Formats: sequence, C-alpha cells, structure tokens
Amino acid sequence: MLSKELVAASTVPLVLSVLTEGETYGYALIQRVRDLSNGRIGWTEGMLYPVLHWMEGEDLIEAEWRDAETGRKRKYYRLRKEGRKALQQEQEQWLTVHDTLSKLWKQKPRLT
Amino acid sequence: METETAFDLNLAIRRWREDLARSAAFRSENLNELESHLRDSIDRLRARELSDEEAFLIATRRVGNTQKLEQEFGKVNSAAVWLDRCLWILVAAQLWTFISSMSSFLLSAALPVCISLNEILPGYGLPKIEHDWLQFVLSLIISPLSTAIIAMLAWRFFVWPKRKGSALIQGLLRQPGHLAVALFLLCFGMHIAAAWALQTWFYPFESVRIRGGQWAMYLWQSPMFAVWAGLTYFVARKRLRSAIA
Repeated sequence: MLSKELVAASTVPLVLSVLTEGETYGYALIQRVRDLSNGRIGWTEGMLYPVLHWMEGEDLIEAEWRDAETGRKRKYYRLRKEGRKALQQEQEQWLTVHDTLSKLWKQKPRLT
Repeated sequence: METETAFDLNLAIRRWREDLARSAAFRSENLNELESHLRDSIDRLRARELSDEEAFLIATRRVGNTQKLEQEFGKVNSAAVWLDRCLWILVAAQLWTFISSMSSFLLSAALPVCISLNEILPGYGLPKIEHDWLQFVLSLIISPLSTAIIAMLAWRFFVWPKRKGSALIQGLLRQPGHLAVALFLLCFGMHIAAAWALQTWFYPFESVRIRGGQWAMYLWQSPMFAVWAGLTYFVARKRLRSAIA
C-alpha cells in the first residue's frame, strides 16, 4: 500500500493519465487504477470525487451528466487541453524522480 | 432458525445519503455522484453473489467514512461550509437573545412568589432573607436554569429518541423566509413578554419605580430583531443556493 502522502501526490497524474484513454466516470476510473496496480493503489473511493471537482475547477478536466446503460445517471469526465499540458509536466517530474531512484538502486552494494 | 428481517437496499441507501446530506460540505450534485458510485459498486458486489446487505456494507465502507468525506468535500465546497457556519452563528445569537428574555421572564415570575414565601416561611423558624440577596440569588439560579431547560428540550426534540424535530429544521432550512420569520417571532415575542413581566411583576418590588418610558425602550430594541432576521434570511438563501448548485 502507498503512504498517505504518496497517494495524495499521485492522484492527479493518475486521473489525468487514465483520462487519456478516453472519457470515463468515477467508479470506472477507480477500478482501472486498482486493476493496473494489481490492487496496490486502493483509494478510499469517496475521496476521489473532491479531487475530480477540484480538477474541474482548475479546468484540467470537464464533466457531464449522462444516462448510463444501467438506466441511472452518471457523471462522465473528459480531459481538456490544460489537463494534457499539466499531465506533460507531471510526467517529466515523475520520470525525473523515477530515473534518479532507478540509477541509485541499480548500483551494486559496495564492499567497504 | 431465526427469520432474518428483510433488508431494504433502497431504504438503506436513502438513509446513508440523508446522513451525508446533514453536512453543508456536500452539494446535492456531490450526493448524486456518490450515490451513483455506491450503486455501481453494489451492483458489482452483488454480481459476485453477495447479498444486498453485504454488498451495501462493503460498498459504503469502500466509499469512506462520513467524517473524512466531509473534511475532503468541505475543502472543495468551502464557500458553502462558511455560509453554513455563518447561518448557525446567526441562529445561535437569536436563540441566545430568546433565552435571555426567557430568563428575565422567569425571574420576574419567580420574584413575587419568593417574596411572599419570604414573608411566610420565617414564621416557621426559617431566617428571613433581604430583598437584594433574594434577587441576586434568584438571578444566579434562573439564567443557567432556563439555558438548561432549552438545551434539554432541544435535545429531547432534535436528538433523542427519534430526532422528531430534525425534519422540521431541515424543512425550515429549505425555506429561508419561514426560518427568518419564525426566529423573529420567537425573539420579539419573548422580548415583549419579558418586558411585560418585568413591568408587572418585577419592578414593583424594585426600590426605583419605573416610569412609562420603559416600554418605549423595549420597543426601540425591536428593529434589532428585524435586522437579525433579515441577515438570517439572506445567509440562509445563499446557503441553499450553494447547496443546490
């Protein structure tokens, strides 16, 4: 399981990345992340929605209520141009951290 | 074998939603979305041969507990949360003036009784108390007593055993006009009643007789109640709009 801090930091890039696959709704988004991480990224599901609404307010994504195949209504989220830009920045930052850590961790233990 | 009481899924979901709706942190759109999520989650769990009740329990648990959700949604809907706080401060201020008027009313009513008791009881060997002391002790007792009475009534009515009053409050919160008028009538009515009680029961025992100008002073304060009520109306309406948005 991820630490609380890492969950908080990674939610926005995860949401943006899932949305690059096409529009989706909250429940499916959570399932997608759970599947991709083999259940290791398990959000408290309700907590995702305030983040989505914040992202909506920042114009990173847009949303629309529509009828779903279940006959109920669902709120579908879509990526916006600003969101793509934000994702690019996130990508650079996460890859920087990832590269650095991988280089360090690939070092063989030194014999002193 | 015990027969299990049937579990009504829709009722359970409605209760769950009502529980969340009590907080200002959730707009009704948020609740729609959370409910839609919950139902999706329940559908998925039922497909794995869980009973309605089991599916409901697991799904609500996964959504998260009310307190944490309230905290996180409150950050996004902070305007609505602040309007809610302002409204409760206004309501509390008016209830406070109501309670203080009520204690002057009770004090005025109790004083003549205590004074006549003070005349009778010394005949049975009890000490006679001076008027000033009597008044002082009475006012010390009455004001916390009336606060306690109101608190107890409120608790009985709104919390225990069945939250009978909470539907009334929810209704009033949806009708800012009614809320404002009700508070105004409550405060103004009690204020006038207290003024009348002071004039008829309390002041006759005071060393300084009060002249007719006193009533004018009481009426002069009544615009204040109208201002409170007006503010309450304004804030309650704004709060309602932000909750529905």
